[in-house]
Amino acid sequence: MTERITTKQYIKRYLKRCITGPWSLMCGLSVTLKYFFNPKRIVTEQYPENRKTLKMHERYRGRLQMVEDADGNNHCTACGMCERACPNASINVQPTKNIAGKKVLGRYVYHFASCTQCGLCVEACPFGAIRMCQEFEVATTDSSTLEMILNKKEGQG
Amino acid sequence: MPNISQMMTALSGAFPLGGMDIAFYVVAAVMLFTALLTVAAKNILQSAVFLIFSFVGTAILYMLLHAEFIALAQVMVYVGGVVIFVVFTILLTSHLGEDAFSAKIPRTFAAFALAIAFVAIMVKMILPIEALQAATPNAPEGYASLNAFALRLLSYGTDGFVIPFEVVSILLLMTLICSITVARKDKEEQNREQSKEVQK
Amino acid sequence: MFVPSITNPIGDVVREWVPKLAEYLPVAIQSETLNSIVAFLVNAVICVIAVCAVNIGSAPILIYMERKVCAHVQCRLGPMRLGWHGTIQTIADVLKMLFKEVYNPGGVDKIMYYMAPLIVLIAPFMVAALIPFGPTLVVADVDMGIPLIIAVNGFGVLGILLGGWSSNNKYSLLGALRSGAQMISYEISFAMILLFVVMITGSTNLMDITQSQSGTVLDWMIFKVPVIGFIAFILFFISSTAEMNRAPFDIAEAEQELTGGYHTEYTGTPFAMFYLAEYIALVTNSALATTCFLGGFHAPCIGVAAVDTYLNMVPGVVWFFAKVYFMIWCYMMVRWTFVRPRVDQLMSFEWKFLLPVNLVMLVIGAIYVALF
Repeated sequence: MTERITTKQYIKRYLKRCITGPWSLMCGLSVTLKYFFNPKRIVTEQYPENRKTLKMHERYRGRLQMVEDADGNNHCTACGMCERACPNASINVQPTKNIAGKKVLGRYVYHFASCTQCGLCVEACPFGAIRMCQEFEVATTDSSTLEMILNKKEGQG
Repeated sequence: MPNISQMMTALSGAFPLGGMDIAFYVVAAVMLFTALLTVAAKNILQSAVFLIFSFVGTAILYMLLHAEFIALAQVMVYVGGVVIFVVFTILLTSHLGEDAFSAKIPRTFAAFALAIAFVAIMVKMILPIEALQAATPNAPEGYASLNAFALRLLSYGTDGFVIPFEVVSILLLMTLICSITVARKDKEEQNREQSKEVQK
Repeated sequence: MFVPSITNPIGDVVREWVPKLAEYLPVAIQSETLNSIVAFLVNAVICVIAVCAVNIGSAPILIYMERKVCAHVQCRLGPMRLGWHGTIQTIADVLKMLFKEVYNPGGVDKIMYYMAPLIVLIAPFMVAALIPFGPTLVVADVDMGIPLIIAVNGFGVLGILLGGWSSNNKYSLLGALRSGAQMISYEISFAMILLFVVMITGSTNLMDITQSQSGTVLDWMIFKVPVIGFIAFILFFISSTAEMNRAPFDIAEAEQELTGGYHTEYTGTPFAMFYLAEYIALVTNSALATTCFLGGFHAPCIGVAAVDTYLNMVPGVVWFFAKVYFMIWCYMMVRWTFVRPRVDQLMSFEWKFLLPVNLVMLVIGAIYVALF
C-alpha cells in the first residue's frame, strides 16, 4: 500500500533523491576505492606458505581447552554447567570423590567430532576453567583421536 | 572443350553483377527456407525465431540495394522491436508445447489458394523484366543515405516530409498516452484493492 | 573496386602481393577483377581473425582482472597460486570450462537451446568490428556506425529470451523475462545518449566521431561540451551497464534469487559462450565509451608542445586500449561496490529518471549545436 502524497511533495522528494542518491553512491565508491588502492588492508593469509609466521586472531574459536597453570592444575569443580550448556552434548563431565569425600573432577571427556565451536560452554563456566584455543590445524586421519580427555590432573576442588 | 576464360564469361553472363548476384541468390534461398520453416514449425516460438532470420535476410537484401538505412531500420524495428514483443507475448500468454496448432483441411486448401493467387499476381507484376533491365536506376548517388533521409524528413515543400513526420509522431504520442490510460488503475479500483488488503 | 575508405598497411601489403602471386597462375584466368576479389577476401579473413583475437583474447584477461579487482575491493588477494600472482589461473578455468560435458536437461527445445548462445554472441562481435582501434585500424568503416550498433543490440535480448525459455526451467524463464524487459527499457536510453553524441559531432561514422575529438584533452567529448558532456558520459555508463546485464543491474542473473537466471541450465561450452558474450560486451561497451567520449585513439595531449610530442609518439592503439581498460576498471569498481536494485526500482529508474534526463539532454544538445 503506497502512501498518498501531493504532487508538490512528490516533486520535492524526487529532486531531493536526485542529489542524495548519487551522494550515497559516491560514499560507497570512496570506501571501495580506499580498499582497492590500499593493499595493506588485505586480511586474507597465504596459509601454507606463511605457516611458520601465521598468528591466529584472538577471537578465533578452535577446539576446547582447559585453563591450566604450569603444574597442570585446573579450576574445574565438575559442576556440569558446561555439559548442560552444550547444545550438541559433546561434553561429558565425569566427577569423582577425593579423599575428603568431596565431589571433584574425574575425567573431562570432550567429543570434538560433534563440537561446532559455538563457545556456549566457555560462557557458561562460572570459574573460567575452560577456553577455546587458537589451534586451527585440527584435521586428523583417525576418528578415535577426536574423543579426548581434557584434564591432565584430577580436580582439586 | 571450353577453356576457363569461356567458363568465366559464361558465369559472368549468368551473374551480370558478379558477387552481388550470387549474394542475392544465397540470401533469397535462406529467406525462403526460413520463411517456410516459419510456417511449418509446430512450435509457435520457433516460428517466431525463424521469422527473425527471414527479416534479417530482408535487411541484407536492402543492403545489397545500397539502402543501408532501410536495412538498419528493418533490423531495428522488426528484430529489435516487433519480434521481441511477439516473443514476449508468446512467453507470457500461451502454454507452449501443450497444444500444437493443427490446421483443418479446408483451411489448408484456402491458404494454398491464397498463396497461389498472391504468387500469380506478383509474377504478373514483375513479368516485364526486360523493361526493368533496360531502365536505368534513376536514384542518384547517396539518395538513400542517412544524411539525405534526415534532410528530406525535416524539410518542407514539395520534397519534404516534415508534416507527415509530425503527424506520425503525434499519433505515436497519442497511442502511448492511451496505452497508459488503459493500463493504469482508476481510483475506485485502487480503493477497492486497498480495502481488500486492509481486510486481509 | 573493393578498396575500403580507410586503408591499412596490412591491407596494402595484401593488395600489393596478390597481383604479384597471380602472375604465376595460367594467363587465361588472370584478371584485374579476380585479383581485387582475392585481395578483398584475404583482407576479410584477416579482419575476421583480428576481431576474434581481440574479443576472445581479451576474455581471459578480463576474467583475471575481474577476480583481482573484486578481491582487492573486498580486502582479499584473489588468485595467487597458479603462475605469478595467479596469472595462469584463468587459462586453467577456461580449459576446465571447455572440457566439461555439454549436457542438456530433459524436455528442452534442442534447436533453441543451442542456438541461444550463438545469437547472444552476434551483437558484441558486430560492434567490435565497427570500433576504430587506431587511425588506420578499423575493420568496417561504415557511415551508419551508430544506427548499426543500436540495431544489433536487439539480438542480445533475443538470445537471452530464447536461452531462458528453452532451458525448461522456471528460474531461467523468470530471469530471461526480467532481463528482456530490462534490456528493452535501457536500450532506449542507450540509443538516446548515442544520439546525443551524434548530434554534437554531426556524424554517425565512428571514425568521424573520433576524429572530431582530436587535439587536447579538452576536445574530448566528455569535456568538449562543458558539464553536459560529463553528464552524458555518466548516463552512457549507467545505461550500458544495464544493457550488459552487469551488476548492479544484474537482476537477470541474480544468483541469490534466480540461481543464475537465464543460463542456469547451461554447462560447458554453451555456458562459456554466454560468459564470453558478457565479457566481450564489456570490452565493446568500454570501447564505445572510449570512442564516443574519451577521444578514441587520440593521445591525452594537454596543450604543452614539449609533452605532447612525447605523448604522440605512443601509437594510437596503445592509448585506445589504455582507455578501454580504464573504462573496464570503472565498470568493475561499480560492479563490486553497488547493491542490486529491485526489479520495480530498476524499471522506475529507467522510465522516471533516465529517459526524461536523456530527453532533456537531447534538447540541451540541440541548443548547444545551434548556439556554438
